Amino acid sequence: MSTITHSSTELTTATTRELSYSEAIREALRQEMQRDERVFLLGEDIGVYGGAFNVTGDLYHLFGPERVLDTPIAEEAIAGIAIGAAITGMRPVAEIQFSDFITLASDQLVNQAAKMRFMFGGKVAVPIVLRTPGGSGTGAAAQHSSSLEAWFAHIPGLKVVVPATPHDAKGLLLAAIHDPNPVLIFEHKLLYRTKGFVPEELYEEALGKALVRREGQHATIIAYSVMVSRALEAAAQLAQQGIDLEVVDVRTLRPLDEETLVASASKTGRVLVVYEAVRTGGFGGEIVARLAESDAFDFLDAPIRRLAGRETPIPYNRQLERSAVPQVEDIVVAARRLVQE
Amino acid sequence: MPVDVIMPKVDMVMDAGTVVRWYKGEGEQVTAGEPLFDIETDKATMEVEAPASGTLAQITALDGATVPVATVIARILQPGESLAQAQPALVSLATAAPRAVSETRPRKRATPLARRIAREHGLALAAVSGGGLQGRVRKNDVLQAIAARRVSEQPLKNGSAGPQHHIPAAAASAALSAPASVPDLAGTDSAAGRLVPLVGVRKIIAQRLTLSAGLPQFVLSMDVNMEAAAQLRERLPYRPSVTALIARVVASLLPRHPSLNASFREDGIWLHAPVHLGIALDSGGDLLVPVIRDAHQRSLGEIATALSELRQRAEARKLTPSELQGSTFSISNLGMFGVDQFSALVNPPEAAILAVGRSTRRPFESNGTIIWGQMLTLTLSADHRVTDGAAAARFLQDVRAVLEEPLLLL
Repeated sequence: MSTITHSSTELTTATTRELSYSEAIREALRQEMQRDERVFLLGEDIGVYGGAFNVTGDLYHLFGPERVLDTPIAEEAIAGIAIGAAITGMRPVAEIQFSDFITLASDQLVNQAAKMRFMFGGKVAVPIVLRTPGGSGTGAAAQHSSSLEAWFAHIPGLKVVVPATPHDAKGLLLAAIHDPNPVLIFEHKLLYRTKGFVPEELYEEALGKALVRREGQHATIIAYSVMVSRALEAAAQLAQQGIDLEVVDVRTLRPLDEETLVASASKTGRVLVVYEAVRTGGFGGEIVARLAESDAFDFLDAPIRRLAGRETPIPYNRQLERSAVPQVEDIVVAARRLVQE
Repeated sequence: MPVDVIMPKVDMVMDAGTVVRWYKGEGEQVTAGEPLFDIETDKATMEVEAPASGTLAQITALDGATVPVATVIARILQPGESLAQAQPALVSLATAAPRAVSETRPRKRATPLARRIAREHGLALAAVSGGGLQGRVRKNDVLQAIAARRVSEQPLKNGSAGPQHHIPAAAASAALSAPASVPDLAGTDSAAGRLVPLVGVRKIIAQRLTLSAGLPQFVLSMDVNMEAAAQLRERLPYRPSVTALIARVVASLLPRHPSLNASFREDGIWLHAPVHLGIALDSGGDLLVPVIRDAHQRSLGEIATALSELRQRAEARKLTPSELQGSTFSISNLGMFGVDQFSALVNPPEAAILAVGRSTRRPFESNGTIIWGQMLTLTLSADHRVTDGAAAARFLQDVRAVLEEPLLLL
């Protein structure tokens, strides 16, 4: 087994190249499968076809049908097989083709994967990783565009990861595979083709660590997944108007890095939480609540604001789809209002 | 259903009113049409009648509370109704009366950070004006108030104040943005003095005359022999007052002296067509200036009648806001107080004000001999941006001529 670097947020290593988000995931899977023969993949059309979003790509041809399993269209079976394999000592990485279909796998995830370690007094571990693309923006309509991460962040025993960059997509996936507990990774369809610098070696980004992506003085935008890049773009635009925003990437919803969020909120005194999921019951609400009851309270100079998805299934019409979730211009408006109120 | 008692809008420009006093208390029976409470607006005090009969309940705006118009300030319960049916419960409103025991939390909007900084600096949030949404006090508002307090405390520290000006550290830190020698609102009554809140007429006077003090004003005086005018007053059955007589003369002459019946504006000088005459009155310690509208078209008798009516209504605090605004020229007579002569401050946007002194018997020269006459001094203050000394002097000459020969009024 080769060694694993821990937390290499610095992008200065000589082995760093530009990869897309999906290439970074594929590289992590390939390297980890080469390193650890217990690791195998399963999901719909991930083998011969290479995956609906071409994430697994040529891995079927590299590792063969025993380690890259094409499954029937049966999400409960995918989750159940993965859990069973994990209990017997394997390190399965399952894919749910669209995160909307995770509803079918929920019983396995919520009632089995999340609870076994507790119910068997720690004698059983369920080290599964479940990758699934979420979010809107591809014209895939209501049944293929949801953002359901909050449902699973609600369950003690499950870890929920929401990577925003190719670097994190690889580092957080590796940390998830190495973690002895079930980890769900909500990837984002729109991020698969985005590029970023990714170290070639194996490295982990620790689960439960948020990251300040941009330092600023006037207000903090807390975001995750695709909303991080939108927040950074909004911050760049507002910087030209003299508004200096801090952008914090949550990266993992459970465990949640409350410390980093509270520190940033205390520093700027103004917070905008941006998330794509429907506003009601979305994870951003949890972040707002954590801040409101934290030590940051005495440092708040404005109400904590949220910018989230509208209360609607994602429409098929592209214009409506766009207007259903926060865009860069929405963040600009909301952030400007926040620093002025 | 319980009937809402609201803060009425008695004037087009009114957006808030102050409850001066309630005639009835909670639980008392009221009859529709009877006086329920008095309110004070910027301009006047007036009585508000009960909108329905029943039991008065849920008074939220106690004596002294200022609330926006249309705010529900109490409810009247019909026979058989209870408070439970009067839901939703009213939110208790700000009040100056000690009866308010229910509301202990400050109503001022402020962010947690602003509250914390204010607390650390011993600054009362009530004294900080909020620049945020809905008047919310934010960090910067508090920091500005702290900076302002520092500036206002500066002269005290640098000045050669004697030991009697020494302020204990605790008191100094409790002082607000105001200079430490003027105690803040938190303490309105103490051995050192008493604070009269700046409300209603007092506030308007403070605002208007501060504005006036910044105007380029000039003052002219002229003595008038009131012998003939006094004889005329004696002969008229309704015996007009000196003020009424002068008002009639001034009103009839102003159309011929348009620059004194005018207002300065950014884009020019507005010459008023009608003469709306403001007459300064002392009413129970308050200065009120009710207006005789279209005074130039009114006879002496009409002006005298109007004036005595306004005086009675002022005494009873029953003047309406419309009777207190829109004057184009004002007259102030302090002769009845024994003042021989004085100058008044122009009341913007008016261009001039005539101050009337006491009418006394004084010796004066006439055709080479010294004789006694009933003399009175008129003093005209005018806005020099609008009119000039010669124009004002010609007006005063005309006033004197008519007063000395009242038949010219015909």
